[in-house]
Amino acid sequence: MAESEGISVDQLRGLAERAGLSLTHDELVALKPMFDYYAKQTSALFEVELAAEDPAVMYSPNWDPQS
Amino acid sequence: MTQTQTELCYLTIREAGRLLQSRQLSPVELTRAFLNRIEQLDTKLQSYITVLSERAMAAARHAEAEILRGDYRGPLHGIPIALKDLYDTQGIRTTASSRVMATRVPTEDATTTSRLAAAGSILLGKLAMHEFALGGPDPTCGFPLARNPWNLEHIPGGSSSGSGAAVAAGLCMGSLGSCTGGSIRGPASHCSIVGLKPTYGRVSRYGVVPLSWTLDHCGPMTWTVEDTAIMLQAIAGYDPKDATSSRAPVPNYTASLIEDVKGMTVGVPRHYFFADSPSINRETLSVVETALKTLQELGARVVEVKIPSLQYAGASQPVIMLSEAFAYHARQLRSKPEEFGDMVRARFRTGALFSSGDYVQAQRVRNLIKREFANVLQQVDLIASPTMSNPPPDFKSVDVMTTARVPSFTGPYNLTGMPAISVPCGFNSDGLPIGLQLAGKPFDEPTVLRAAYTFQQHVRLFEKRPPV
Repeated sequence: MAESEGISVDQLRGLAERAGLSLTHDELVALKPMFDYYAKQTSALFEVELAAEDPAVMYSPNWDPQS
Repeated sequence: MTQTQTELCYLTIREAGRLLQSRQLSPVELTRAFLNRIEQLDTKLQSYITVLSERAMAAARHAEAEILRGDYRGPLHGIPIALKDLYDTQGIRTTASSRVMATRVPTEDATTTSRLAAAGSILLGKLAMHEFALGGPDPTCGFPLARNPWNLEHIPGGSSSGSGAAVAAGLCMGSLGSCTGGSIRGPASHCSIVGLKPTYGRVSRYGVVPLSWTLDHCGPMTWTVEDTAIMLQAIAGYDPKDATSSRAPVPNYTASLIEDVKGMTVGVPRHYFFADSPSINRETLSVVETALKTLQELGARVVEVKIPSLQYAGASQPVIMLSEAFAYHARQLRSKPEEFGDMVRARFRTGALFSSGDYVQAQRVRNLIKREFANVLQQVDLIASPTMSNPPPDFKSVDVMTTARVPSFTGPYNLTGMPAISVPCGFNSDGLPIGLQLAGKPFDEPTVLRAAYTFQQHVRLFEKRPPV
């Protein structure tokens, strides 16, 4: 989703079908503003400077404030 | 309803508990008062999905008999409570406010449900909520939309909407909400009650309909901080049925309720929570500024702190939440999408469209946010902010996009797992409530409760009930 600001309805249909969702044209048009909003937000996550060592951890209940 | 019954429904859990223990009040009399009040007021508040009149009266009679024979269980014995309708209750319909689960009757209690029952509480019923604990009030979900008792034209917040409305209006003495991005603290703030999201892993989620496994929390919603501590005591602790449950020891929460914040350091990340942004309500900030001054006058040291990665919390949290929600609901979304309300269906579908890279990156950024909070928590005891960036909107101005766009001041603590509480701190010029959010170190609920208790005892907003 990262680079998809202003996605076309056809592109959105492709993404939805890949996820197993069969959406009508009207449903895709209705979904597009929300998709575009989140796509813009999500792209910012890839601007964050993270080290190669920064993992995508699964959250642990044993939260260590010193970590 | 008699004056006496209204007064009974406005007792705190602590006050009622003392009367019950000393046999000056019967659980039967107390429960009957609540059931009468629900019958009289809930047609306009719509906070309940299911009222369990007969079952509650039977439980009250049982509690009365136990207390009379000297088997007093503790401060929740005989106390009428209600649960958000995603807590499983054996033999009682549990819907998550969705047609998808409209006829679902669990065969087992959630761990929290059974712990509250073991503590002797009386279950009055199951409370309204936003469908599957997401989004806003959606008239297409097929279930009642709870209203804000301070102004019926406004939403009570969500997703634990019925919990906020019912506790504020005196339709139950306490409730459990669930929270993935602010669903306990949000309605607490909007309804002028107390809501605590405990540390991730502190309270079992077994038997609670999930929204997002790595963000979901369960916690109490009550009229006072003291009552929140009492309810937390009953539900906290390790549960082998919940893989994310922590084995950390459970302290005595009510013992931490000392009216003193002298020596505490409270950090305020002004760059985020007090930003000069048109999407943050100025009057809300002004009221919370006064609350911070109050904390300072009470002896706390209030300092500014910086958490730069907070700016990414609003992007990270929805990616994780909606991706996980889609994973849980995918089969139903593909086969019977019409069973979902419009708002939730749209947002769950959006969750299907994030890439795996988006999800992984959101989790990596989450780790960065957690690390920066950990660094700040080495210098401060608490982090303070407004609970909500805006007052509760009226029903007409809520739609799926406005719900997504409002800046979340609560979501960061779902990402970090830190305990966070909302305590009432004032009202705006329209008479709508505003909450102060205090977040603490992991498993340091005692400090969070102590600061909130000290503040609440000083400002005494618990003396003001909504005009229902």
